[in-house]
Amino acid sequence: MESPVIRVFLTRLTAGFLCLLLSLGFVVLLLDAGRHRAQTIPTQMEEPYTARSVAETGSINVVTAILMDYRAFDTLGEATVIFASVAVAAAILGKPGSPSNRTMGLLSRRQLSALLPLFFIFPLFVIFHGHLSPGGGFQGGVSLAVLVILIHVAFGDRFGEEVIPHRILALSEYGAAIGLVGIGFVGIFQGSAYLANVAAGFPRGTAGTLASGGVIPLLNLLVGMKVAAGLSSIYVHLAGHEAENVPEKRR
Amino acid sequence: MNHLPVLVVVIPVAGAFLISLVDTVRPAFKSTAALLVATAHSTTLVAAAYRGMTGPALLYSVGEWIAPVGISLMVDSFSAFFLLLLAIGHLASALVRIESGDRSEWARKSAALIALFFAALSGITVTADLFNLFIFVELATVCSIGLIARKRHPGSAVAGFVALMAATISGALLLFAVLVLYVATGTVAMPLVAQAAPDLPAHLHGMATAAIIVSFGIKIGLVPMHFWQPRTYHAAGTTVAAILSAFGLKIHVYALLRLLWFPLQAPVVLPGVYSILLVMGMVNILTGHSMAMIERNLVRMLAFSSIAHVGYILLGVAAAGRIGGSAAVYAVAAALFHTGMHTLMKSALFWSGHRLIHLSRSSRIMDLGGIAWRAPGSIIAFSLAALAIIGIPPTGGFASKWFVAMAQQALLPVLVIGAGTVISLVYYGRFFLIATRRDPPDSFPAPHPLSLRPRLQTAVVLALAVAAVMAGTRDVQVRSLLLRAAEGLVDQADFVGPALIGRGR
Amino acid sequence: MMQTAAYLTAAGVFAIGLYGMLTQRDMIKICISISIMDSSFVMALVAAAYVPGGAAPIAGFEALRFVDPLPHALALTAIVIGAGILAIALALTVAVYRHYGTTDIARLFIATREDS
Repeated sequence: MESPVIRVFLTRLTAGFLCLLLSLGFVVLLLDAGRHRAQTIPTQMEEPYTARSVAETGSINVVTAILMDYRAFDTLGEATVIFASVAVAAAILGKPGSPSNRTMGLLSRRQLSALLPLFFIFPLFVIFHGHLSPGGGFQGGVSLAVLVILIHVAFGDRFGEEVIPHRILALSEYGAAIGLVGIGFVGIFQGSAYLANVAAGFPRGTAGTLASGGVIPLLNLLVGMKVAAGLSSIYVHLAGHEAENVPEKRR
Repeated sequence: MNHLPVLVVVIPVAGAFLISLVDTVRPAFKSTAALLVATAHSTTLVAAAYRGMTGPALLYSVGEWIAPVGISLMVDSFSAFFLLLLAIGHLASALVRIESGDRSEWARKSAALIALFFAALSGITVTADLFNLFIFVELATVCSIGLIARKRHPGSAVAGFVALMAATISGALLLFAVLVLYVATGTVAMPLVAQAAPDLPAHLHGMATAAIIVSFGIKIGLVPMHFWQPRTYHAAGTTVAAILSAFGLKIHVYALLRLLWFPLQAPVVLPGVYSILLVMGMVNILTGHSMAMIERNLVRMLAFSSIAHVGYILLGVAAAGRIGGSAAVYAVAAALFHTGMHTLMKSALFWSGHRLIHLSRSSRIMDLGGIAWRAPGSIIAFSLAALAIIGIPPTGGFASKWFVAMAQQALLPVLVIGAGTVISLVYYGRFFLIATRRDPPDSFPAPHPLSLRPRLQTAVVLALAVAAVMAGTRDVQVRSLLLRAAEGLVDQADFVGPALIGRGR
Repeated sequence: MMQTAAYLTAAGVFAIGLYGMLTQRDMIKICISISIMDSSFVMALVAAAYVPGGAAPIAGFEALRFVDPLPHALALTAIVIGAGILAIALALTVAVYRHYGTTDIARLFIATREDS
């Protein structure tokens, strides 16, 4: 006869052992893969992006050049994933109802109301300088969403709903999404391919200045808007209920 | 440049955004918008499929960046076949789903989610980039979970969570396989990975293949990994289950085949994997059919039947991989034939079952006694589709099973196919006898107030069922289409060729 | 050497996440495990990008070598997708808790079995 305690312990031991084995196997495979690549590909021509991205896209941040130009289709896909998960959260949870009105203390609120305008500088910088320094639409958008959440947490959901109504969030998300898809069509109308940048006639500008990189800054702005609106409305859907205050039922 | 390969993805994505916008601004026009988007998407899909079937493979570079740096999309005759299935799927599910009166948040979002789901499926079908494939697979997961978790039905949130856990593991394995292939070959473009695949060390190649098979095995319900499927389909309800089983599942089968044949070059490098697939196929047929026989719930019965029919498709695929060469074309064509037939039959079964369940307000088979006399159109469609799915001779289901059996080199798989046919005859026959019982209970409960449009739905379902039956008698035309599609998978010369031209740029 | 250490860290984090997913019964804990697993993939991608002595891939820097920028871009995409999945998982948890008053997945299985 096994007691349930021993059975749980044995299950966990087996599970832990399996997980360790699997992850060590992953490490071995990845290291072997790296060794194989070092043997087959000469090191000079390792990666194709860094050398050419400035000349071809006008963006000196190579990661942004990949995200917003070379592989912009991936970015469209992931923006769509965010869009879909906002829709799914809304579908599962329904309309945000009975928002809680808990706020932070008076001192924090006074401080925040003075500081909040300053807080907006950073995300905007990250979005607008996405092609110049580390950052971009996603990172800036997430920081903006954090500010919206901060307003909700500090001043209460009811005040947050008054300042930034949910309808506005939804509309700006849909608008940014349609703009993102629409910009891609410019490439088609210019006789180039979908989501083309310089090839579609967008000006490349002087690399290293704010107005460079063709369509990249615009895409950064739209993605930033979309991510900010999307993540904020996920928060509004998740937090807009009092259900969390009900204690868990015990048997 | 022909823009069709990118349009089949972008049009429904833009459509989903527009549907959401219309729903916020002018809710009354939402159904019209959804139908328009579905029509536009289906038209594009048919156009792309026509070009893929008749001409050489269509290759598209998004943003004019060619394979090593950019993302390539591609439509050849093999993907064209699946694009045709998606065209049927999006239009039919938009027609079936036109609802009246339901104003719940889920019903409002589901139109956009269906458009996004079909966008993701089209993306999986056209992409020639491993990481892009991963993104579309995850997009399909997100949308399908949204469709599963209906608000009206609290148990479905639990089923959605189980599906989400399964999908997380599946996504992690796929991402891991992509990462290993990237580190080993330095690229995520399928044509370039295909070029490097024969030189990979055997254990790297084998583990990447295993990770991909398990990852997609979770999605398509290979037997040890099928645990989430019946629960999910039951919780999702028949309308959504039809979309998931008839279309979503088929596209994941497509992705598995494409990855095995093309970037991994499995028939050449790792033929042993097909023997494993053969065994898994047989296990799937036997488990699926026997679980369906003991099942007392109609939706779960159909879900287990789906698991069994994935087995038939795998048997054809495994035969193709084991033969190799030009004879493989016939086996792949047989597998594709069964894929297409199962799409038609299973969507017809689920959607006609929807009407029956809707009338009796229960999906338990015993509660459906005598329901046939209240919905004659639906029971006719259900019976036609059931005849086809059992495999009674003149129907398309018989022809496709016959071709799959003919492609086998051993006796055992043929016997398994025969046994599966007998078992499915038992459980579909039993349901038919119960549904047409002469002594219906005196009072059925009043139908659910949120009524769909029964006539339109019955017409769609009848069309699908008749198509499934007729395909068996028109097998000359069907066969040329299927062989052309199978060539796209087996002879990749026209796929690899154009993709590599851009390499030197 | 550096890369091996980074891969090992990622593998350890992955093992913790997978272990949590396999053994925990609480939906919130499973959500946390999913999130931990996502982070491990980001770590592995960043480790895969590592080049000895490489600088951040910004063309303005004066450097002989740059790290591989593609995995960084892929990592960003993977983070966003992980966030989307996590949001849904949390939404499902909230929905389940609102109706059944528990987040214990084993108890929920028993509770939903009667529905079928």
